[in-house]
Amino acid sequence: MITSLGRWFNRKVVAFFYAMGYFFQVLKETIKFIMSRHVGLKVLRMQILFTGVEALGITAILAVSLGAVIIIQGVSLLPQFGQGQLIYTILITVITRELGPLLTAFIIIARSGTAIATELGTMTYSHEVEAYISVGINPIAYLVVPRVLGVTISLLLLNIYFNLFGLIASYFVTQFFTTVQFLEYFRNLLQTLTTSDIFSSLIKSVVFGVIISTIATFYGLHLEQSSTEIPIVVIKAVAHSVVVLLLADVFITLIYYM
Amino acid sequence: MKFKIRYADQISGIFILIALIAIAAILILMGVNQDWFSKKYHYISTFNSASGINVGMSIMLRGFRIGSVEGIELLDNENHTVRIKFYIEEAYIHKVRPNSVLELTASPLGLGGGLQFYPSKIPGDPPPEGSTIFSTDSKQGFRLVKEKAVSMPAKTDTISAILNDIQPILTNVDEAVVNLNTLIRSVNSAFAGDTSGPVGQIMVEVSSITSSLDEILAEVSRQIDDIMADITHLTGELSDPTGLVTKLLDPKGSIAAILDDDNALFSQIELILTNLNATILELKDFTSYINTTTPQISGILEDSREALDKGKDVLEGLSNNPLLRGGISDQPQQSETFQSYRDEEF
Repeated sequence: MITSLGRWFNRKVVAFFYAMGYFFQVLKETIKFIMSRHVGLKVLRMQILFTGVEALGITAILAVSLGAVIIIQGVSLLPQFGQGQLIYTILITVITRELGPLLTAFIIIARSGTAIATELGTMTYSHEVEAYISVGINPIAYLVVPRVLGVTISLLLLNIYFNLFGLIASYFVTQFFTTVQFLEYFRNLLQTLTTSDIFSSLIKSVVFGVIISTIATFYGLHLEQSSTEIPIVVIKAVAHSVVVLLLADVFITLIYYM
Repeated sequence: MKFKIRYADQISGIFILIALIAIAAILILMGVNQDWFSKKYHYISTFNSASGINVGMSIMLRGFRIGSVEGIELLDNENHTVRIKFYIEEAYIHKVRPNSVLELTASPLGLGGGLQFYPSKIPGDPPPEGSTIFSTDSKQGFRLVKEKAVSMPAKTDTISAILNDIQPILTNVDEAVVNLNTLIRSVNSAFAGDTSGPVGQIMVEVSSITSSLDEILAEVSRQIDDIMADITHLTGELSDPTGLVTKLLDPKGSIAAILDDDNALFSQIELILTNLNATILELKDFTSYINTTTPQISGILEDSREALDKGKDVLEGLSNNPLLRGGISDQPQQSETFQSYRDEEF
């Protein structure tokens, strides 16, 4: 038992360092990609289109619904305790600081994380990755980096849109139920919003983007022999992304409040 | 090629551009709204405790945010007082006069609070930056407030607000009580018959009915007396042992004799009823039979009627026939050949 435990631990340590090595390789290639205008720019643009633009609809619906619910509940409940002004703090805390980046990241995991893992898994299975290597193209530079950058940029932008829809568009939805003046609402919102809120939200988006794309590409390229491994690596990519995402969220929030 | 793929660069560009413009616009609006670019005047103040005070807390003047808390530190002195650093925005610096006071207010319900700034009533230039603004926790600040040297608005705490809210309700209740009183008075006068309304008329009529009730009662009393006299007479008859009623009700009287006959009368009556029942049953059967034979009888009657009609036609035909016009010859009455022996004469 001790032997098997030791083997398991050894395997985990090796896998961890392998993943770290992959991550730093991606980071190095990303810096190189940014420095030199690469042919992978086209892949990057397509990735932004698929990950960012196409996810805008669901992001908008989610943000408007969440914002509207918070405003309606807040406007009806908080003034009863003489704390009507707290609605703005709650809105910013929930939408900008916490749920904005997190929900956007979940959408990206569901849409693009799975797609990237499946696509790279299929390419690995059909030996396309080996073909790139054989003609001297670094698959990380050409396949992984544009996807990492695309997902990260898309998540950052989607988070901005999420905030716009959640804080501003939701106001117009609530006008069917409440009568808060727009100028008063907007002024109070700007009064309550701080740069650290925006900074925290954007930092989270970037970190979440890097996590989702790195894990998805890692598991996509991790496929070994059979096409039946594709759904397995997709599930692993999603599960690990969610876990690491939540840990990172907690870590960043702790730093924010320290 | 799909539109989206064909114009992928443009669509992605617009997507990025709108987001960047939005974030830039929000940052600019935040800056304008939060006076990022205006000069800030920094001051300090001391409090007994930092409870309820936090960095970023607003300094309020009659509901307006005029500044914010920048830092809090615990002083190393015997009283362990707390020093706060705060700033006042340029737009409101003229409100800061020497001997102004800061007060930490807390909601009685424990929800929130704030730092209230009370400017001095005596005009003067703003104190130099870094100087102390007295808090109500300090002796100087307390004295200034007590001497009413600072401009303080009338306090409207939550309890006062609740009492203010209750006041209109109490006024409404008072009005309702007055209205109820008036209503009761109206009802009273209606019952007294002082009004010309329907209730007043009813009450007048009730009064006249009540007065005539005495006469009715006297009449009823007289009739009851007559009835009582009759009852007395009847009682007397009953007490007479030779009276008709006594005889009838006597255990050896006629009724008792009829009733005490070993059920002979009852048996007779039962027999009659049984016979009657049997008769009714037969009658019922007969009626049923009649009911079932009614269609047949109707058919026979119908056939008879048709036969009669035809016979009538035949007779008419015969009477109209020229060959038979002379009628039918009379048939001679034949005497009976058979006679009974009883018809013979002896």
